[in-house]
Amino acid sequence: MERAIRTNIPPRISARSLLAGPGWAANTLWAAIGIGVFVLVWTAIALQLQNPVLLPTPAVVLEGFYRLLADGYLVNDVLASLKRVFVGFLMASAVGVPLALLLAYFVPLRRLILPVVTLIRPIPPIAWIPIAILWFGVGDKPSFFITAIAAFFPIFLNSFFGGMSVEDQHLNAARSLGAKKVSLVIRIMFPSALPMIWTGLKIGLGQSWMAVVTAELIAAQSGLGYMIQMSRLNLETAYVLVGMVTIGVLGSLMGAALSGVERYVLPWKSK
Amino acid sequence: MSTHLAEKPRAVQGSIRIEHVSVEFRRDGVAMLALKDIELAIEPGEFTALLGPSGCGKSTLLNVIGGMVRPARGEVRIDDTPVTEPTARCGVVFQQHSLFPWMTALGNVAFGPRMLGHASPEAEAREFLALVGLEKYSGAYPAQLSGGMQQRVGIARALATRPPVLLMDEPFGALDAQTRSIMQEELLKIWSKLKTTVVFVTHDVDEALYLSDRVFAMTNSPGGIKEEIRVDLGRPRAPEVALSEKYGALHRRVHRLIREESLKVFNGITS
Repeated sequence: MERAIRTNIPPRISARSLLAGPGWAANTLWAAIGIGVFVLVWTAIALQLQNPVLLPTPAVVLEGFYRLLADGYLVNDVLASLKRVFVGFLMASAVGVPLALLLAYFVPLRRLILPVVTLIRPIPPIAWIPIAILWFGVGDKPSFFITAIAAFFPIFLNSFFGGMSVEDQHLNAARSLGAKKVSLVIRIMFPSALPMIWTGLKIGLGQSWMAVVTAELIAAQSGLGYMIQMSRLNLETAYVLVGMVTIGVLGSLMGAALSGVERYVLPWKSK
Repeated sequence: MSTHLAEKPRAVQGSIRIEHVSVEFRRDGVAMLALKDIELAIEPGEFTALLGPSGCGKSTLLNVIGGMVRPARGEVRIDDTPVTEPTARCGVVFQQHSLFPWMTALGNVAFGPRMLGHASPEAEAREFLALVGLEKYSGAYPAQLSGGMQQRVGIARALATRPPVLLMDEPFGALDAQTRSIMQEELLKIWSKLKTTVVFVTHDVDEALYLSDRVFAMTNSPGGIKEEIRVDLGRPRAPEVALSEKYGALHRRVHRLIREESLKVFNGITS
């Protein structure tokens, strides 16, 4: 009886009930509203200023975006920047993760190398740019170096603490099952640390992406950072903003992509 | 199917000799004697229990046998070879959370055979999972299994290398009473098939008596062997053995021994 009555009531889908819900749809709606308000405020301020060199409206920026996209300039710059990020990021991962695990496992190595890392770590990536230019000139190479430096420390430190947090019980269990040193590092310490390594990689990729723009402002002749710099010199503020928005959107997408594959990397962490 | 289990029980292996073993721990820079001059001989295929109140060092003694703790003096020999580090000669079942969370049940059980370079680790692992009745859960991660199932996987994992000695550190301590009693029965069935030497740590008098051939009641601070109790209740044992008069007498005797030690600690702390 009760069932029949309930099905007669038409379902009420109001904006309010949708926003209160959990899940993907509601989150998207909230995000869309937030971004919409941001664009409106931006438009209002730009219209008030009436100075496209200081702040063009979002519509003008969008127009610039299409023009650069049609020219092919934007795609070239994005690809140049992405390449620098991924090469630097991969170099940092290839060195950072194994080094961190070795230091976590072998105490003498840790005592030898950790002080050096501690001394170098506070130097921001931007402070490396002059010496990177001296060593590598201008172009891809100094940018690889800068993105690698930026990604290295979050990757290394997270992996190191992940490795240090390996449980004695797991090491002892593995030993009593016949595992020797190499297996202990690769098969026990590495997967134990993997959730933290993964966090390090996510942060490292973000840092690397931020650093590539910095590097390109100074030490490159292509890429999004270079494009922003050149557009500023030409007082093409709309293009400056196209570059900035592109950096923001691509950075967010990379973060989202890593979060998206997380359950395949850490299958035991998902339900 | 059961080729690995059908191998002849190797009751000739698995003798444990504990000779003048003392263990020291440092607390605030002061050496504390955890175990004092322990002398013990356990024969191949024997089921023994180390029984005592918490803090008496029974787990420490187990860890010395397993090579996870180095004694300050004395040595442990398994089949006349001194124990210096954890090896596959001693399978270990821990109290809880010792399964590798990043491996499935099958992966956990196959780990030992794989480390020892066996030809088909997964096939062996399946047999041992079947032995503990969990063949259907081979693909499950530890976090998806109940506490009792996790311990069964832990037992299968420790047995899969066919160690002459099986060390069990309060393996059922975290389980509810009903599950615990079923696990005890299952353990005896498995032991009667494999005839491994078992050293079982517990603070539960009933558990020690039901399972063991001999029970070693331990003294407190420093830990030592207070008395050895031979449990001549016959085999195979059903849980109903606990209703017999002989069992009652043994229980009263052992209970009194343990209570004396517990009181010593209790009064030592309160006065």
